[in-house]
Amino acid sequence: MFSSKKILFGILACVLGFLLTLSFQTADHPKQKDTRNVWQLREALSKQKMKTKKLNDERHRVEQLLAEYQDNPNQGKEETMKKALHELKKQAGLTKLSGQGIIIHVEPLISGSLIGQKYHPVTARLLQTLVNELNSFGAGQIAIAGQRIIAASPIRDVNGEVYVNDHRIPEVPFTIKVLSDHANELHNEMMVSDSRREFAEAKLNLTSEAVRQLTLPAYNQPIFVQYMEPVKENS
Amino acid sequence: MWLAIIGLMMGVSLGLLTNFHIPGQYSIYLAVAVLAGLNTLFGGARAYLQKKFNGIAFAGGFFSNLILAVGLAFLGVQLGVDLYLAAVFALGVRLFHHLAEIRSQLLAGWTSRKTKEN
Repeated sequence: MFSSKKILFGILACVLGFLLTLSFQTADHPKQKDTRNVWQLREALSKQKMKTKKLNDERHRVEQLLAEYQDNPNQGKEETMKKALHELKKQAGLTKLSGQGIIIHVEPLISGSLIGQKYHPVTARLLQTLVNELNSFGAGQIAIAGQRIIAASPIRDVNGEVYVNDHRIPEVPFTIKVLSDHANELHNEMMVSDSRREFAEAKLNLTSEAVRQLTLPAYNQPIFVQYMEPVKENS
Repeated sequence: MWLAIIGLMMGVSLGLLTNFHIPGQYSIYLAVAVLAGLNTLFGGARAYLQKKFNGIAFAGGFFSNLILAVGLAFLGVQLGVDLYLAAVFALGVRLFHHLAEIRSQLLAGWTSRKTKEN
């Protein structure tokens, strides 16, 4: 059917194609060795498990909501929607929240009158580090000097002053309130945290106390969402 | 022609399916081998059009080119001199030469057919 010439061509073209694909694969994705040891692998596994649990919880919650919608076709629909809206507002930080947690006091490390310096500046970087660390310790909701921190809250330096939610943070001392289900653990972790050391380097003292009941104010400003838009039903 | 294209596609799919990876430091050898293969394929097509195709010369040419090119690359790596460039240059020049010949052959065939029709 085919002459030997054509078969030879075909075989060579096959070899060439194979080599070409290999060279593309080598250029595109240099194979990286997995050099993690057993502990790192275990850590990664437990992280993924936590993620799975979180996603499952979320799915369970949404399924429950869906069931509520379906069970109450007319009269309960509005009620369920109101409940869902309230839940979403709570998640977004637009409602007051109470519960157990810790109160962190930010104070001058040395009394100003002793060293002749009255003003101890807090920087935005210090507060950002603290918020990041609190989040990594599993803190729930945070309010810095009465300003509720939400996902879109900016913490920045403006002309030497620190602004949170576009409000100036008062001079030290001020308090940071943090809600957490494990207030005592969070308090202990705060006592040995890196933030505490960094605040001390800036001549500021962080002290925390676990309290059974504290209330965080609601976020009271409009939220500007720049890169999201609602999905149209027909699109 | 069709068999060559089918062969090429088979080779590509084989490469994708086996998911075979070559370590980055051997990419020079691979590039030189690809160049040798392309050179042989173009040379074969040229010989075919010139009606001088010889299967043994074709296959032998591929392997000798491949061995010399990869050998030069290997020697270059051992000596710390980019000797593979010699192979790349020689094979590259030959590739364009083959292409020019193929083009002139095809053009000659096309014009002779045209004159016959007229």
